[in-house]
Formats: sequence, C-alpha cells, structure tokens
Amino acid sequence: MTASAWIMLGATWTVIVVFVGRFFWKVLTTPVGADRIEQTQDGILEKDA
Amino acid sequence: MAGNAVGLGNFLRFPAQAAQNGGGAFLIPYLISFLLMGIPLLWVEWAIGRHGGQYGHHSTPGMFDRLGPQRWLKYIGVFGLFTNFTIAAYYTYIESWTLAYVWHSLVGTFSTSDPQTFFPAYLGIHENSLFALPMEALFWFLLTLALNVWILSHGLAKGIEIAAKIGLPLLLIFGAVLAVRGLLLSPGDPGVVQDPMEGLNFVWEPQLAGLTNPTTWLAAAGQVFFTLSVGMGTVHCYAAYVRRNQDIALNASAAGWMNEFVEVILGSSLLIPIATAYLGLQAVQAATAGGSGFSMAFLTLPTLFNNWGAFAPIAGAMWFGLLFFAGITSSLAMGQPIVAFFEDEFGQSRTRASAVFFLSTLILGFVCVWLYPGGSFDEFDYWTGTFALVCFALAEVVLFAYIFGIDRGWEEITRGADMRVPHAFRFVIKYVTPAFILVVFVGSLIKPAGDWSAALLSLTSGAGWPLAPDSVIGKIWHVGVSDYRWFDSDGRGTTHLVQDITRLFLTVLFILCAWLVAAAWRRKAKETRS
Repeated sequence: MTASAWIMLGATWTVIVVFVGRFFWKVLTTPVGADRIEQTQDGILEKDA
Repeated sequence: MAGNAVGLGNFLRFPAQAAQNGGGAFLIPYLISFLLMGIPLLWVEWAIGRHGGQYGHHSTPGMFDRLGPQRWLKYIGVFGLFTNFTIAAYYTYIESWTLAYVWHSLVGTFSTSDPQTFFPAYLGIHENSLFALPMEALFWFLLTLALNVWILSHGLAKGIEIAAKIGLPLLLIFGAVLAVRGLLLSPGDPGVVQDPMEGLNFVWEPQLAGLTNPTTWLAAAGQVFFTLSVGMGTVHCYAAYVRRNQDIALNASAAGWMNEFVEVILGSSLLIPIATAYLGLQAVQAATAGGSGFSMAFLTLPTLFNNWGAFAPIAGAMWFGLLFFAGITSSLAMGQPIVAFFEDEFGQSRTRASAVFFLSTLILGFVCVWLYPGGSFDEFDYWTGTFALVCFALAEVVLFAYIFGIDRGWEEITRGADMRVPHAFRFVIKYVTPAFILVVFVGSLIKPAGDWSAALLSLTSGAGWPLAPDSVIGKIWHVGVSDYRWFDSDGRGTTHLVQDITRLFLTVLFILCAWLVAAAWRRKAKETRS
C-alpha cells in the first residue's frame, strides 16, 4: 500500500466510524415519546390538493 | 431501515463498481456523491414518504400527486414503480444465487468443482450462445421468489425486521472475519497469485483523473442511490408508515451512515483483495469490465473457504446464508411499494397485489435468466439500477425544492427531528443537490470521446460532437461498435440484438407503468363521481 492510499483509507474510515457512532448513540439514547403519536383518528389526512 | 439499506449492493455491487471504474478514481466521486446527494436525498425521500403517507399513499405516484396541484406530478412517481419492478427481478435472481451457494457449500460441491467453471455452468453460459435455460438456477430463482411473495402476502415484514436485528450483526462480524483472513493471504498460500494488499491499494489509491470523467460520476452516483435505496421508491414506502410528528432526520442519517460503514469499510476490504489474491488484479478488472460485476464473489469466495479445511462448508453456508438474508430484506422492500400501489390505488387485497408482484418478477426475472449470456442482465442493471435512479432522484429533488417548496420541505424534514439538521442542508437541497445531479446526468449523457475542450473545438468546427462509447447516448446508438449488426453471417443473433430488445422491453415496461398510474386515477375519479 502506498502512503497516499493509507492516508485516504485512514481519513475516510475515521469519518465514517465517527458519524456511525454518533448517530447510533443518538438513536439508542433517544426515547420514543407517546405524545408524538397524534394525528387524525385513522392517521390519514383528508385530501387538500 | 438499516436492514433494508444493507444488502447485496454493499458486498457484491460496490466492489465491482469500484474495480470497473478505476478503484481510487471511483472512490472520491462516490464519497462526494454520498455527502451531497445521498444524505440530502434520504431526507427528501423520507419527507415525501411521510407526507404522502398522511394521505393514505404508500407508493410514489400517489405521494408525488400530493406534492402540488399539478396533475402530471403523479407520472414522475412512475419511476418508483418501474425501478422496483425491474430491480426486484434481477435482484431476486442474484439473491437466488446466494441460496444455491448455501446448498452447494453444505454438500461440498466446491471441494470437487472449481468455482470458476461451476458458476458459468450454473448460469447456463455456453460459448457462442445468447440464451440460457439453466434448470437449477431457475429452481432456486423460483424458490427465492416464492419465499419473497409468501412473506409479502402474509405481511411478515415485522418478523423479518426482528430477524434482521440478529442477522445483520452476524453478517458484519462474519464479514470482518473474512476481510481480515483475506488480507492476511500471502502469495505463498495455495492458489494465491498476487498479494491481496495490492487489491486494497487499488481501491484506496487516490486518482484525481476520476473527477473529470462523467461516466465515473454517473457510476458513483448510481451506486450511492442503489446502495441507499434512493431514487427507487422503497424509502418513500417505509416513511409512509411514520407518523406525522415522528423523527425522520435521525433515522435517515443513522441508516445512511450505517450503510456506508458496511459498504466502504467492509465492502472495500473484502471482495477486491480476495479476488486479487486468487485471480490477480488485471483479471478482476477484466471480470468486471462492461458489466455489473455481481458475479465476482461467486467466482472467488468459495476458493477462499476451501482453504479452511473442515470448516469450509459451514463458512460457505454461513456467508452466503447471511448474504441471502441481507438480500431478502432489500427485495422485500422493493416488493412492498408495488403491493402498496395495487392496494391503495386499485383497492386490491394484499394477496392479489402480491400475486401481481409474483407474476411481474417471474416474467422480468425470466428475461434476465434466459438472456443472461447475451447481456440482458447487465442492461437491466445499467438502465434501471443506475440510469433510472439518477433520473428519478433529479426529478424528485427539483419537485421537492421548487413545487412542494423548500419552506414546506424543510419544515417536513425537521418536524419531530431527534437531531439538529444543519441549516446549510436547506441550501444544499435547494441548489447544490439538483445542480450536482444535473451536471452528472448531462455529463454522462453527452460524455465526449477524448477531452471536453477538444470536443467543443470539434463541434464549433462543424465536425460534430464526438460521443464516447460509454456515454448514455453513445450506448444507445452503439457508438464505437465497428460491426453493429443484429444477426451474424450465419443468421444467429448478436449481443447487440439482445441489448436492443432489452432496452425496448424496458421502455415498453415504463410506458405500461405510466398507463397503470393513469388507469388508477381514472378509476378513482370515476368512483368519486359515482
């Protein structure tokens, strides 16, 4: 492997691992609140367009 | 959602696309496309899907109809039917290969047969023949399709989702083990012809030449769309079941980045290094040239497993079994919008809608099986798995930003979000993403043979625009083919005949999908009147 290939691999992998870790941590630690579930009775809106 | 996004595209298509488009030359456009097109489009599709779902639509024609008052909007949604019909057909065929390989690994076929002779025979490829009728491959295809339809018709998506939560981590662990084992191969090992690190170097060596090649950009954008399932209509369908105030931004981001983790980190470390070790880098590039390259894993990985002694059958069965699992979560996601279209817009039962999916996938899949040696399969992958996705993505981001309106659009994306969506993406969605896709799209349509300045000179001097053979228009007109004929001197059909028939077939199918949409709306209008 050339030095430039190692640099590109290292930089890309780091960015991906950081973002995956960040978003998954957020998903795992965010509670789903019951108050989010609202809407119309059957969940389907009336046609407006 | 990550279970849907992680599929055969990560492990089989991505390495092949990278090899075909110059390795490191492909990776830079790919990563830029992911950031400027992939992530914004995921948010756009989740927003369109959730919005449409509130009106009872779970497929793209109805969702697009709700974006504005224009009556033609629903016809843009035709792409979301067409791509699912067509991609599901050849995707299910690949999925069936993995199931067949589970069986053949368990019974020890690869301990006596060389995968490089076994696989073409399995597909029914014979020299000088455009057609194949491989009974075994057809059996596994029918079995896989039947399994898909059975799950769809019984609404077992939840069961599959639970199983995916176990299967996906297993796939990742096993993929990591394989990647490490593959990279540790050395030229002294049995069957190894080249250092696998040369394959890894090929993928990661930055090559700026790829930045000026529109075909590489189209391939990179197409791969981003294929792997994230954007430009297909499947993400919209998932999102349609999300409630009005539930988060979509964080879910979309997590699924997108998870997919990249699997694709870029595992996908790039697995197949190309292993294939380089056993076939040599030149052979890998030749094997993927001009085609989809899905077959590379089936030609090389059983050889790797064979070197694992008594563990070989289990390793092979486990790997291909997990791949099958990754594949079926994606193919079910492709079937769901079609089933939902017939349920929502034609009032059909789930069983009847599933039967339509079965029949259409059977017919289209049979075309891929039968004309595989003539190149029909690769035509399906290029026109529907790359080109159509880019067309749909361009149309939807423009409609979202300018017809639905970026203000409403941004409110839709950020409503209930469990993360702070960077405000810069509002600008990106309105200007950067559409411009980016447009440049890639137009560039790949008219890519010249040679450089752009020479082509402009040629045009202004009256010599015309020198189209490259791999430009979209160049492909349609068979530019650069010295002997373009449908039949050879013995009266036998040529691959050009198969290519043109497949393209015509796909065009007719698109028109048929548009007709279905028109018929559904006529039916609804009639119902409203009565």
